[in-house]
Amino acid sequence: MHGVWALSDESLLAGMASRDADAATAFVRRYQARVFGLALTIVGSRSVAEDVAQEAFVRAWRHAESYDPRKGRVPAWLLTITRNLAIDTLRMRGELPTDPFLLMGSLVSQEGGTDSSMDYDDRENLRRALLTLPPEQARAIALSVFYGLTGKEIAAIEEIPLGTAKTRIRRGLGKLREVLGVRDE
Amino acid sequence: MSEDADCAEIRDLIPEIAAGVAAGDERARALAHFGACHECRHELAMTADLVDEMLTLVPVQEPPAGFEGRVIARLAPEAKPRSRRVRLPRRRPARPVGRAAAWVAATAAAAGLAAGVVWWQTAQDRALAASYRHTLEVAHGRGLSAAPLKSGLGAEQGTVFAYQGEPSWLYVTFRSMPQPGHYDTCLVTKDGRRFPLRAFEAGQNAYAWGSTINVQVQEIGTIEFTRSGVTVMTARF
Repeated sequence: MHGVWALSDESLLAGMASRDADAATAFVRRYQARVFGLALTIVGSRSVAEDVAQEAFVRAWRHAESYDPRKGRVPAWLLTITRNLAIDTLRMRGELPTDPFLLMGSLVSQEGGTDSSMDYDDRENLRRALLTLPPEQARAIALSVFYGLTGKEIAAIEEIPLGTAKTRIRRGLGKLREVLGVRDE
Repeated sequence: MSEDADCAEIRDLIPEIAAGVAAGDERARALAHFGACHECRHELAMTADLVDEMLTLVPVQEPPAGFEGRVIARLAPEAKPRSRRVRLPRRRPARPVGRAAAWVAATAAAAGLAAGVVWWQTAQDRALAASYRHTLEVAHGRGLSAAPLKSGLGAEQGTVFAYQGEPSWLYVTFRSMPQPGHYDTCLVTKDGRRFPLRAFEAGQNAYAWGSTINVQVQEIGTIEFTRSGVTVMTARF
């Protein structure tokens, strides 16, 4: 089983698609702290987060063959599965999101992961940019990106017009993209 | 609606589409537009990349002890048998081997290895080495390690054997019957991770216990037996 640990994410997913238990074990061990961390950040309870994280790996196992590297890297694919499950869980339980300011605070704590397509400078720039966003924009982005709320739902929670909610999200994301130098001009 | 007005409307939707929260009808309208508009498609790709990167900024958190094992147990019924097992002689075509069956096989192999270790104390080393190698080869194993199991006062209660193979497992032989009752067991790795193992129900003639493990033998720090919340026996590797 030793050789499995050095395989790339894509190779492990290929192994999982062919129902290889060793590949699955290596994949779970590689990503369990990241998946559990995201689930816990969103649902706020360790026991519920474990259920979400377990289910995320089961979904990854069952849908490994549908992973398309052209649509994103493996960590983003797995974390998106996790985020969607966590959001569904919050909605089913009828629970309100954790304070978005606390969530955004954890993002800039410099304890985040390293499995990303960004290099270190980009990561630090993104963290700094999050810190400089106006609070209302940061809050709207957190509610949308991490808690899956629509513009209408954010407008209702924040007691603002729908257009204002959408503008806050769009302008906030636009500033973050400027920092990363990914403007499409 | 003019092309510019169309783009303006769609770009308003892009953050929600990138975050996966857009309503179905809005998403369908946007996807139709993306098919014909390179600029908006590019805008969506850039925003989706940013959303992905934000998810990776969340701090990592170690899950509760035993998480990995519980996940693997959920996947196991759908897993293929490992290739090494296919090498074993079979009268019927290969089929998935359940954890219970693997445990039975491991226990049987453990009994053989434990017997081999006892024999080691009375036979010549060269013969033992040959037997040890043969046993490992038959079981497709890579190594066997052992540590004394001691009470809190340091008295030796038995021996813990740790086997590296597929599956890897622990097997404990007790020198005398432990005090009857329920014991929780836990494997603690050298870097402090805790993996609860199968409980041990000590009763009449209970002189042995075993469990499969999901860590490398060289990672094992201690094996703990806890009774009523108190660790009463520990083996240090």
